[in-house]
Amino acid sequence: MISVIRKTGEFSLSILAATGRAALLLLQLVVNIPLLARRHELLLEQLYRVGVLTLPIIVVAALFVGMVLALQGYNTLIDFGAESSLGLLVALSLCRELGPVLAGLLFAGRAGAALTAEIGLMKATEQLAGMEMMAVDPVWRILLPRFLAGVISVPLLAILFSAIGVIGGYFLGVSVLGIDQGVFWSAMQQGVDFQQDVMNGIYKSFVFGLLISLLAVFMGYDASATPAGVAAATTQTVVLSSLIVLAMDFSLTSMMFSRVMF
Amino acid sequence: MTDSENLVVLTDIRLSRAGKTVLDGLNLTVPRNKVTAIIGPSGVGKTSLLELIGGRLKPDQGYLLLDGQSVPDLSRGDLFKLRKKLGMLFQGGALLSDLNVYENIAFPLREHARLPEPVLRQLILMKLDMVGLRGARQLMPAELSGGMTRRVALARAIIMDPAMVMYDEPFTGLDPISKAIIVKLIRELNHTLGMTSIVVTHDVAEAMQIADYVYMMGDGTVLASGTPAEIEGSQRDDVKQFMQGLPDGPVHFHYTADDYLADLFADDDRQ
Repeated sequence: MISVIRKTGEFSLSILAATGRAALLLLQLVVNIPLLARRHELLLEQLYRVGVLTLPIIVVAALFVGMVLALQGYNTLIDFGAESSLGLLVALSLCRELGPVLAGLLFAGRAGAALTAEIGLMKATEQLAGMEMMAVDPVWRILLPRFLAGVISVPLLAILFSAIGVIGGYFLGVSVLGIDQGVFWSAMQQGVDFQQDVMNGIYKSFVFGLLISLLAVFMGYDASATPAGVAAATTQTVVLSSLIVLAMDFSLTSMMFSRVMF
Repeated sequence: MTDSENLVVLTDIRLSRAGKTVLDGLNLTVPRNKVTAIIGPSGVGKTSLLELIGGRLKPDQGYLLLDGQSVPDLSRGDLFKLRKKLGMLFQGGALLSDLNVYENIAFPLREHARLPEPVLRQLILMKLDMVGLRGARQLMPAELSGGMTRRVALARAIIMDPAMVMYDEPFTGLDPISKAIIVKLIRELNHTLGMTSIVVTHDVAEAMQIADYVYMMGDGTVLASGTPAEIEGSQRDDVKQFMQGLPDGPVHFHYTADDYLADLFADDDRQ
């Protein structure tokens, strides 16, 4: 019994300590941002690796999600004779929720895991230690460009996800299910509020991008320098980012759209 | 108070890691422009000693002066400034795996100096030629043999023309030819570039070949020191055991354990 309490305590303490280290790392990263101005090529390279290379999975996933939304929405709406609102339903679901959340989850799986594994392996093979001995701070040289690239990429990927999802919904709703395209677009135009729906979705994706990127670089940097340690860190990045994205999504939604809740 | 004779002075150093005392009461000096070898069995804190000198670890107690500066008391900025004058050769080479040989050697220069590309190229080719790998500049680290990796890492360690280079087990895991090449390079670089070298190793023969002065470590402190000839002639049992490679002696074959018989018949202690 005592050991259960002790283990719980140790576990909680280790989580608190890790959160503290992550917060300190965030501070270090932010302080170093001005240094990156001289070396923007480092950021561009990571934007390509982290952002551009995530595009294919985002595009394909968004098309399918848009089509499924249209199909499911149509089958429900038609019972109420409201299939003309299909465009609105697809657009609202994507902008408010699915775009930011799914782009975040996909990013965590594709790029977040890769970042943790890369940084963890660099640590395990003494590359980070070597860099420190060459008087180069790995936090700004390795972690910062990757972190910033993630923070910049995720909102852009989320916007793209929503846009392509709408195209998928349009394809299925208009071309396959036969909804009038004028009705499809005008319902969307009337019902979607730029500030309330589009911008709030972008804010969300920014928060997700920040948290996933921080978690990914932190987990790699904090990993124990063994194969098992790197493997565990990579798994944790994906699992924790997914949980954080979903939990933060609920918190942010309840703040942004509070009239729905209360 | 810069010491004109010694570049590194360690006085009464104590260091513990993960609750275990690694170094205790260690006194050691590294003379300028000489090759100092630190020998001793694995796990006596030789690598920790290098990490102390490089400022990656802080001692619990004692003084550590490098070129007159107290390394443990330096701010991060000053420490990085100091490290620009240090080269370190890691056991595994620590080459950046996503850069080729040329870019690996260019790395410190690109980070610390803004040099025109032609000058950079000349500097890199000169260092690569010193280690005999000018022709291998386009290879990736994964394509290099162990000996070549060590030589590339060596070229990178000296690219900033450091005042001192620390070699962590430079001979481990190399074939006799590669070993001989590294021995020759350490010796030559030390003379031609006027550097100070610290070589941490457990390869006795190589250490005796290149060192001007040898420290033998054990039990977290210095057991014996002197010129290679003095160490070889030492009458101390523990030194003799290490130098001659005897399996048992003052340094025990067995890791500290309970009484053998009692242990065999004891209850299962798996956790």
